[in-house]
Amino acid sequence: MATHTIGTGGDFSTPQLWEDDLPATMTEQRIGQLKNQEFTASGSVIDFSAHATTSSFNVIFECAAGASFKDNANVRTNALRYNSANGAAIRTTSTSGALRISGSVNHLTIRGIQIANSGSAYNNLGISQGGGASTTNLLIQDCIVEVMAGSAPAVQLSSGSGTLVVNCCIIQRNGSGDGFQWGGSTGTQVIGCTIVAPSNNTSSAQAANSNYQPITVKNCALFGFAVDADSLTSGSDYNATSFSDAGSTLPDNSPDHNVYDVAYDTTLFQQPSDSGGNHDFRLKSGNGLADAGIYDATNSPNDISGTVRANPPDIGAWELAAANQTVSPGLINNGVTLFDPAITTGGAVIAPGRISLSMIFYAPVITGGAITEIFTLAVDERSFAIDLFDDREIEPGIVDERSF
Amino acid sequence: MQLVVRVFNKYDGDDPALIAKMMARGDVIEVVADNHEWGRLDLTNPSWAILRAPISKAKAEAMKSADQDEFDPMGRIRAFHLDLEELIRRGYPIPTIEEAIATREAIAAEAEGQSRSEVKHSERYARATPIIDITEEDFDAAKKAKEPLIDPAIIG
Repeated sequence: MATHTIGTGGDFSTPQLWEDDLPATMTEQRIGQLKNQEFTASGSVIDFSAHATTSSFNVIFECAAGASFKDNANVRTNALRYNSANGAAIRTTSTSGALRISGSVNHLTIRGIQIANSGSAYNNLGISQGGGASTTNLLIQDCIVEVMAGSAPAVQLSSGSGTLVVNCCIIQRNGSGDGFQWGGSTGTQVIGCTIVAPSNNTSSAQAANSNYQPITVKNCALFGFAVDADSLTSGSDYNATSFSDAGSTLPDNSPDHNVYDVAYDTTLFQQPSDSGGNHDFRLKSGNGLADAGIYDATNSPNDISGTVRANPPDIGAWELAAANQTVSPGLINNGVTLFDPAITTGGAVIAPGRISLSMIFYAPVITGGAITEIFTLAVDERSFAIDLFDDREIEPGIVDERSF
Repeated sequence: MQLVVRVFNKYDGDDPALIAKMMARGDVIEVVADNHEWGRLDLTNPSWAILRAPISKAKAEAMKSADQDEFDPMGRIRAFHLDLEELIRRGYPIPTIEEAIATREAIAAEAEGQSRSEVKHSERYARATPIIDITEEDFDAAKKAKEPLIDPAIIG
């Protein structure tokens, strides 16, 4: 495995230079990690050429520790839109896809990155895949993709199989481009995503548009487009539309998980209009999308900010932070952020290896016996901490200081 | 402007679809400003040469353009390249194709069972990459449009 940082003071100064350092045939896993800065280019900021991969010798394009918008201390209060001040970001300013896949590269993971295109050319996409660039097992996770002008789709995938797009916020602001468009990709799944055109724009396009192949769209919030979606598979769980089933001709599961007649205004998102440049697609509490999804522990246990999904989850990329969240053992995992958790007796048994450096509890109330077997392994050679913020209440004897 | 240029092909086979989508000798990978802050491994990469030319940003970045129909499977990832042999003939100290391939093969052989990236960037192969100043006239002389690729699957 080879991990390299990208950016000022890093191993490679630009994403494209890191990409070109990847060999044609992968002989090890390669991970490129963006530093916390905005990378801009007039063309594609990064263009993947063809690489022969395996499931082990794969390619991951992500952010360095602490560099993603997800790692921002204010991730829960920051507006959910492209904002390079919040974390590592790439943006194309003139033409072509900001992140482009030109050659066949399988087992590619893109996660935690902000991707934007502010150019106005015909091919100004956020993420694009070229002709002949078939991909299998492409994973795009926890990304913000925003297209600001032009006429192209925000995300366009052309061919391959097994593509998974999870917990992404896709914002299409150009009025005529689709939100998510796929061509010959088979088995594509879009799960827990928010795909929107701002509410003050008149879009003539589709939120999810297929040219050739059916797709599964699950727990997704689709708003602001002329047409929500087409060519969904019969197993799709299509949620969050103001269209009726009859009008949309969409497949429908039984029981029906679809949500209808949800107003697309400030009762739904913090700010669905981009007229002031302060659009914000964090879900608001008290609307029909809250707790209306279908829990997916495999693909979407957390939301785009890392917050644990409730069961049932909210629809879209954003999970409302539940006050006094009940924490069960299955929810304790690496990288989890819990807000206001009330961890009650027997609520969490944290076995060795189940808790990591990046685990943060905000304002926890931990009662006697709530956490058992915090650490039975020696910790002398590892730095370890649980950060307890705000109004922490820890009863004596609950936490063994020697463990920390 | 500074241009990072590949000195050997990523792919030497005869599959036109892979030729189209792989960087090759003379392809401009990246274009940066003269005051660019390089990364730790940028200036020691045996795959690249770095050229500095007194040309406009638009002229330099045009070297990164793809074929017009980018959704064509035979569309090249780079429509133009720099003829490094021409630049060598004009006296620039750019690795010859033989030298570049020899380095690539040596890395591949030594990396057997090891991290290829570590071997490639080890002191043995990480030659210090000089930034080579070239004139605009020589840049223009070396700039070549690539020949169209023909898909053998198409008859007629």
